[in-house]
Amino acid sequence: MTTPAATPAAVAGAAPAPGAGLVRRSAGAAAPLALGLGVLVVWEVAVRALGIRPILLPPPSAIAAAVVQDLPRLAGATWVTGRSALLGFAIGAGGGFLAGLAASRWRPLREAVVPVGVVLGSLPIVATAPIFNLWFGALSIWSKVAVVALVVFFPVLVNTVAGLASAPASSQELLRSYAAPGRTVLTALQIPSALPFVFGALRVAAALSVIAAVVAEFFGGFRDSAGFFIKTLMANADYTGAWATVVALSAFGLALFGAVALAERVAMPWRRDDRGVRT
Amino acid sequence: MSAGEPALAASRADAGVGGVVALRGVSKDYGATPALAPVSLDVAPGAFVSLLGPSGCGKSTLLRIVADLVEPSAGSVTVAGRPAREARERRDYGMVFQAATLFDWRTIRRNVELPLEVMGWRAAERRARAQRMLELVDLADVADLRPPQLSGGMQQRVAIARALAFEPALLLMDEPFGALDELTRERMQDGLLAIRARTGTTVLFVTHSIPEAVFLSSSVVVMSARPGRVLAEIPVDLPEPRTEDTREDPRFFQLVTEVRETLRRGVRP
Repeated sequence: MTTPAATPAAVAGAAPAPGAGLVRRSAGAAAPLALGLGVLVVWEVAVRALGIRPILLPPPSAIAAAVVQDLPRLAGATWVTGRSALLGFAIGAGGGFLAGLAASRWRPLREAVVPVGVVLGSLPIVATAPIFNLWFGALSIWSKVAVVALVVFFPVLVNTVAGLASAPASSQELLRSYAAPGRTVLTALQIPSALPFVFGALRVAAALSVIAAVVAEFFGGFRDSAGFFIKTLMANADYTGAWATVVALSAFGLALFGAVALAERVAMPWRRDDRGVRT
Repeated sequence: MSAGEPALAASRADAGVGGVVALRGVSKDYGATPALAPVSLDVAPGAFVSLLGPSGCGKSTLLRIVADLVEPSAGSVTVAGRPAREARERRDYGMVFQAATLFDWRTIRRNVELPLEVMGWRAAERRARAQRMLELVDLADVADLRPPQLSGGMQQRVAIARALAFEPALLLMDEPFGALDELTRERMQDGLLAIRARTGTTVLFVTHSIPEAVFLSSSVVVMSARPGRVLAEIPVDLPEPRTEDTREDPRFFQLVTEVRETLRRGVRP
């Protein structure tokens, strides 16, 4: 059938009990939480027992204290950086999706755009950031947004093109037997088939966008941005402060990732009961 | 009833007007490889014709040519009196594939509504028709579930409901029960005949199961191994309606034997 391995037998009417998903999900969250906690404990104990100097690796407790102590400033810096990441993510993802739609529609464009995309997409940020600073100004948000958008654009483009082409031949034949116009094939079949691919790319892009924004700030940017903070704190040998900034950024990246995962569940209600990974 | 002149034997199905499906010298080559030798065949209104042959004999290709999903290399195809392309664009047939080909992002009800949506029906009418079709295949109670929650047999019944939703005069079925276990398969066959008794739909049915072809059909077109050609068209004179007793009827076994022997001649000439 349409999902060969995933449907072992008739389970008609076996709608999962309400809340079953929640239980499963919290069970799913337990493992990474335990792992994270375990790492923190080992880290703390190791630093104390081995007498590692804080310059090399501060203990988690010291980092936590720094976060709490400096919270307003950290939150402000994270927002300055996060703003660039968010804007760049939205522009890059939206542009990548639209370009993917266009590329899948016109074969010559697809053949041209994907290879070029791969080349541009593999440009290192260390090269693009100074260029965009030159173009948009180092003290403009748009130079950071451009770096992020470029990093996000190509995974979304490539996955959109792959996703739109992923609809099974039999489904395409079915619509052909109805003499369905191209637009209907796109909306009724290709876009729904592409969504898992697109969201896969968005998850990756969410993490990339924060990294790209921070790195872009290393090449000049607002004095109250997280990237600038990390740079100056490192220069002043305040490694605990630098670590605290990284923690705040991670929290932002996690939130963005979570928002994408949430959007994914809303956009694809038919995949909500996660029966394993079906991509 | 033995082989005879294929074209002549085949054309007996219709008095000459052309029938719901009329094939004249239809063949298909893939490059230099012939997949289908020239085939002529008529399907009369209300008939249930099975195309039976070994794997790779081109019977699915022939069905796809009728559906205008594959271009024939030569010959003419008429469906409901029109060229195949025009018939497809007018939605003169419904098609059921070997895989149910349901869309997971739609509920069962909205899967059945799909062709009606493509045809621009209004929502209320779509819904009413889908409801009626789901009742016809006995699945009204799962209308709001999604395809992965249904068994293979149930999914295929949804596909049949979807194919019949716009009441086409012709139903094209490409090994629709091939992936099902024997008992489910027999239940689906009974169900298909019951539906047809109510709708009067003409059916062109591809299978490689001899008992299935004999049980369902008003005539069985036996095809040779690749490149496929029609060895014989064997009329099935079993009493109607076909029931569980039909499967035990001595005449049923006779016909199965006859079809099998014809088939064998085609495999080892």
